[in-house]
Amino acid sequence: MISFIPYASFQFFTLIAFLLAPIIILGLMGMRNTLYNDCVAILMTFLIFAAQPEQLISILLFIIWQAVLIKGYLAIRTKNNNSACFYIAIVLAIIPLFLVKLSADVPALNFIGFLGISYVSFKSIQMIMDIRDGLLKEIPLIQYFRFIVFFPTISSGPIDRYRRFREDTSKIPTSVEYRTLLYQGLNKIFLGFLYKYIIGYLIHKYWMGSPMLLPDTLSSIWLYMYGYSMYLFFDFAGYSNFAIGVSYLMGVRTPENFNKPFISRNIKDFWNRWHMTLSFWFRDYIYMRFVYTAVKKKWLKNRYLISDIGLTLNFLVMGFWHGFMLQYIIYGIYHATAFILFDKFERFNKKHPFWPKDNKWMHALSVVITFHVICFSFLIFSGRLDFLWQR
Amino acid sequence: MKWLRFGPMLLAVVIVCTLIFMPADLERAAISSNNMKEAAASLDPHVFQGMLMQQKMLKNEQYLPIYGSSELYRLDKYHPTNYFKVQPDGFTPFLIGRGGMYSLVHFLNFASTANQLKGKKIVFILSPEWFTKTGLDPLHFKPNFSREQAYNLVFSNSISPKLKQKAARRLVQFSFIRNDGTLGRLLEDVAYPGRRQPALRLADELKGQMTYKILTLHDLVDMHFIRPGYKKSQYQKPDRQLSKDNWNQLTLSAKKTAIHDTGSNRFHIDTSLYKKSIQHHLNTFRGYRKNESYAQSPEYSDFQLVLDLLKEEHVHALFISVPFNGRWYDYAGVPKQRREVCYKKIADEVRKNGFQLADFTRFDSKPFFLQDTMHIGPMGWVYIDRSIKTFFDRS
Repeated sequence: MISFIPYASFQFFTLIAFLLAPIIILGLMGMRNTLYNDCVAILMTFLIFAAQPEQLISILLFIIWQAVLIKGYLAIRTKNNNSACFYIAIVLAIIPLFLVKLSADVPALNFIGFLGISYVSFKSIQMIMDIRDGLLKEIPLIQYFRFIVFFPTISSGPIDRYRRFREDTSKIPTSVEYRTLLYQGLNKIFLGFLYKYIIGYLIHKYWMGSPMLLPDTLSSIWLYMYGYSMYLFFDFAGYSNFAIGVSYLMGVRTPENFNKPFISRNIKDFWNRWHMTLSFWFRDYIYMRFVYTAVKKKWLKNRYLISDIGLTLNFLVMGFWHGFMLQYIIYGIYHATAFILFDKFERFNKKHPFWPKDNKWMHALSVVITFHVICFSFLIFSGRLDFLWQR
Repeated sequence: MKWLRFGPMLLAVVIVCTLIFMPADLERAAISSNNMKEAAASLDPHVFQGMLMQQKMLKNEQYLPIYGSSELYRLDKYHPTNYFKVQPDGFTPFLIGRGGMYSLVHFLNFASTANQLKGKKIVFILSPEWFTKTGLDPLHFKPNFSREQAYNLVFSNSISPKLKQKAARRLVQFSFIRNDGTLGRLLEDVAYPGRRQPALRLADELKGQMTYKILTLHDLVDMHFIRPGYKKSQYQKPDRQLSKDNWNQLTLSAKKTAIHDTGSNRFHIDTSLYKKSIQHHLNTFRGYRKNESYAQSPEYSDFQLVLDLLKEEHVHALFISVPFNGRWYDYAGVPKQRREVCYKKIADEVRKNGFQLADFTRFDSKPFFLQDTMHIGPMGWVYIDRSIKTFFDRS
């Protein structure tokens, strides 16, 4: 069976060009055929996973499992707002993802899981949280399915929000609006080609692949660090551009994932620019919820301490989410530490100003410092330093 | 919003498609004669795993291609490349081959340049070491297998359908080829037509054509970055002095070099090589090839594929048959009569098919033709230079 991993091959792009052609033609006429779109979604979900039947079965079971959870919790929530029920629902929603992440260490679990399970999990977890907050009163099953298996973003995001997605799918863009969407979408797809298949490819092949960078010396690891950071960005930003571009062609404005992350002025700024849909998801559903609960329940008096714990939790979970491996955990702790230290620095500087006033030189300096802090975190993330703790 | 804004994107699609689907004629035209000059003695594997450069070279009267294997890398001053530089005879040798390039690898290469080979003069150096019981194995084939040439075999009709099918049947015996996705399936279609539905075949053919065009584009790019495939230590500069010598003088001076280089041991193996990798565990080599025989080998039929193709294209080929290092093979456990079987079978096969043979296997037990266990040394090159010159001047 030919494999159709999203945006990974010529055949994938050829296939979606064919499938999207009717959608584009109708879109330019200001129309949309929901039935056709749904058929495309089903066909694509099938084709993406068909090469590995166990993945196809996994995703089908997963979707049903989450649908039962969401529908069930919604029914309970309309009657009463019991915290225990909420926590049980969340745990049940996370279990498949947890098992898949665990399967890296426990080979017996290898049969479960499918490409993109974490991104699909994020979608259903946020729905449960929104139900708890009373933001979602009803979820038609068909809408849930459309949201969960929206094929352009199924494998690696960007992570959309259900309420935003619902609005896009319920409203048919006019002919003029669609023309803009088409232009922006195609533009993003072409940018994706440039990022992922030209720049990213060249960096991977000629920079990271250079035999000069093989030895474990400081200089070669240092150069690898820059190469890997650039590659990570261009590869993932390129992928995100494909996903967002194709979403646009389908009339859905999937949110952006990157906003020039390497010109961030500080670590806070960075997390507003890097893998944005993920970091915002973590901010809203982990950090904010923790801080809110901790303040409301008066767990601690010191608000700053609450925030620091929230940040640590936030980045530790993010680290574990990448995989149950030491390099990812260290990556999480590293970012939590950097974030907290920057917070302290900012507060201190406010009380006793010592950092020079802002000008373009200071701006450049902070960009350079932040850039290196980030690149070093990616070096940890890459596993290039694993030799330090693996003997 | 104007439609014109889509212009750059359409242009990008057009440019990429033009590049990929550029006709082969244009691709060959994009290779300059300078690139070709550089490639002639470079021994860069991209040259013989590609086809554009060779197709262009064969159309050029100036070049005489020499096909062979690892011996081509012994670029001493008697090597044809160097010798015919100081003693020009109206042609420049163009070297094609490296270690592990057995007959089947050369066949694929010939097939991809069949149209250009028509009526051409070529030289082909045979190694008796190929003709073992196993013949070509995946270990040697895989690094020398060119997907571009294999796709060419699938899509081109420059060789007869019968030969094409015979070759495809041989190729799909190798599992790494059979399992090579689209290419493997297409070769199986050639080998066993009608084995599956035409629609499936068509889908693979479309995909294969695309991959094939991308591979030739890679080929074109590689031809602009030719790099020597030999090591610096293997190369000697051409020696102007040689131009004054006649064949006897050349043989004598080459022999002198050989005595100097290989005189240290009874096998006449290059001293530095002998000291480095043989002397210290000579005992382990006693009889280490004693189970080897050369009477039956798939290589004979692989070689027949080469001969069939060259006959079809009416190529004027000179085959050069090189001996084993007799003393070494005696020690290694392959007695002379077993070696003679191989020499005879090769010679018979070449002659039966009506090709010229320069047979040097009489040097089996005489020293100095080779410089180690199997590679041609200075004196060997002198004899070969002479036979090449005679061949080129006469035919």
